[in-house]
Amino acid sequence: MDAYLEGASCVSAQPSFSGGGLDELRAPAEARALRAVEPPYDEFFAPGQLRRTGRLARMSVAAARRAIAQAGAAAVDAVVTGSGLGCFEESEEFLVAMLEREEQFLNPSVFIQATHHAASSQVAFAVGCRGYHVNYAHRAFSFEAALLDAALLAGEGAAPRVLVGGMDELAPNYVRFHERAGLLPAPGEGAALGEGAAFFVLARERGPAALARLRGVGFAFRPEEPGELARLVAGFVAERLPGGAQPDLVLLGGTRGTGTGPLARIARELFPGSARAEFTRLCGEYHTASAFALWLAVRILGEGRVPQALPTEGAAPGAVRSVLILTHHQELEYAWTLLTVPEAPASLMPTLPAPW
Amino acid sequence: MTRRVVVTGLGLITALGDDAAATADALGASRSGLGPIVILETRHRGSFAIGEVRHTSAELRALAGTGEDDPGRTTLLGIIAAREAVAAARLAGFADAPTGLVSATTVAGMDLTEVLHGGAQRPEEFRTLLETHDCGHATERVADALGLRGPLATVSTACTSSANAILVAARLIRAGVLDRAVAGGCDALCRFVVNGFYSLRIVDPLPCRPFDDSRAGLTIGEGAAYLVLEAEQTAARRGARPLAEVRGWGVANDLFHQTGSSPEGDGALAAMRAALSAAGLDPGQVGWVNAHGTGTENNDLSEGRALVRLFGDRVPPFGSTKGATGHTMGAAGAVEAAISVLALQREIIYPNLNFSTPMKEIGLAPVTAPRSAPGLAHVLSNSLGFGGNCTSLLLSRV
Repeated sequence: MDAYLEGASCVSAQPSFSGGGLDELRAPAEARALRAVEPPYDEFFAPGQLRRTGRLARMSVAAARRAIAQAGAAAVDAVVTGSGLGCFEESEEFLVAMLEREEQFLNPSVFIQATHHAASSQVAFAVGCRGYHVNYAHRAFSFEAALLDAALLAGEGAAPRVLVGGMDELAPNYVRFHERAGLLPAPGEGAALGEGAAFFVLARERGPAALARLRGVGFAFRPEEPGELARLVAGFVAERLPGGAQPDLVLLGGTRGTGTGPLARIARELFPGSARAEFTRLCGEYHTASAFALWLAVRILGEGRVPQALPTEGAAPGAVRSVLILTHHQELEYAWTLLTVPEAPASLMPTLPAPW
Repeated sequence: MTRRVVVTGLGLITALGDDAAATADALGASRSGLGPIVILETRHRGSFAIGEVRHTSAELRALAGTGEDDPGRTTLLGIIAAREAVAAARLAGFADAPTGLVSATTVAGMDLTEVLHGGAQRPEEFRTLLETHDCGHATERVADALGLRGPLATVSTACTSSANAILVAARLIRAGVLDRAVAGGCDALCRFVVNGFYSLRIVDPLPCRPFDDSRAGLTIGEGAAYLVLEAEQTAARRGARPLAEVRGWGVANDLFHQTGSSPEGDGALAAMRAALSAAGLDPGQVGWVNAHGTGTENNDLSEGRALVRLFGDRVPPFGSTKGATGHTMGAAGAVEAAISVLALQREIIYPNLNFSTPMKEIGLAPVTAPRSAPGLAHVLSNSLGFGGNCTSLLLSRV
């Protein structure tokens, strides 16, 4: 797989949208839930429109349009997104009203806004794309499925530029359910729950706007621990980085900032020469947090260094030219993405290698 | 050389019956599965017709073999249909070729959530809510029921969801990422979704009348369907007999309105054109259009106009099977793709029920009785949904 990211924009708990550099990132205040820093929306919505648009859609449209602007693209040919929960707030709103009013006097607009892909559709409308449009909704696989689809689409030739994004919102009820379930970490005990929307323009050909090169996406569901997962990830990297090189930086997600679990162990074993960091310390844990990681990786590759706000272990990070993102959900789903600087050497494999 | 993607098995559960043969037999006899709400507990009982699978969730649990565990009605339907598909494809396991599951749903675990929401007290109940609520849960339970550990993906794009799942799976096979995929979707009735459609005022009190001038809305249904898709060589290598080919597909966004289609059917037209072009076929080669045809004023006129724009005065036999199954929401694309494969296999065009008068704006009349169609070679299956999504699949005889 070879595709290029030309635009990368992200709304998150970090000041990621402001366009500032890596030094603007900061370790977030200790909290159990990290809300996104939402941008001023008047650039992206007329006032009447904004009122009718839910939070997830707002964040998504803003990030999508900014990514397209950054890429200098006149238009995109397809929109592919991933969202683990979709528009959870609207879904809760309709459900609560339905239960309280005993199935009467319900607002249909809320129902429409509650469909899983409503935010994704609003992005397609906002950017005026009549082409291919699909939304994935599968936990830690959501964004990576969108990325794989987008790369395949670009490779198929009919969509030179694909807008690809990952977004999830943190609804108050979602936090409450976690608390009642005993699943919410105490402040300081690990990565909080988070939210965000990150969008990218993916192009088949390397152009002057290329920020990074997407080398591949991989998945595993219920791998036979520990050997199978390690083998899959090691093989994936070996096929893509020349001469047995390790990625300069490994970004881990789903580990809740604890540095423990099979993923953290595998990262240490496979990549002892890499700098390793848990990116969810910056953005919180959510199904499409790897989209934040991809944005972060693009920024890091652009500046060639790791930000102060992101503590690393392992090798002291030097010039960063390759980043491996590794995430999981409940140690059942694992997904990984490899990104390099645009001018990194060509794939060792001449054809599209299977991601696993 | 483009890899051909063939269908080697299918599974189907709808208001017409528990398996593919039951649905096909019912369609071929012009039977309808629509009727009063009997199973779902809702204040709207007696207000409108619906297309329920004729089993309580307890009965579905028995059919799905999940025992005491309740993964939710959507998932149960998915497990039943997926198992049938894999058995029909005569697959004992998946070790012989990289196999994945691409599933789709919109309701997901909402039937459980709406019960747990007010009622949960203990931590385990909240954990259950969190675990079962989302779309990915249904897919993973189906994968587990199949014993499939391969790559999983879940598509959720409202009414086009499982049509998109099928074409995504076909593209993964074409690209060599997979050699085989179980592809389709599942959606169950629950109060949330029934109230959602009802609040939009697009639900006909009576069973829906697709393409009829007096049509008054859709009939909500539930169901699940999966196709086993394989690269032609993968199927041949294990001696599997292909039932049909997924020959082409088209996806477009209408960009008109989140809940309505453009009056001229721009998105539907673009999707159908793209599917034909991808399949390398002319419009004149289509033997049957299995339309989305929900029975709403907006959809049927929009889609009807798209048919006229595409086919001119040679609109092929067309119709919607939703008068028999209801609108199975996220599962509709796969349900109707499966029905299209059955039509190709049995060389029959299934009827569009409850039609008597063409829409006054365009004088189109669907096929109203089952019609023998020897040599039926290509079927175009449409799914059009909220958010402007339009998907068209082209399925062909092999």
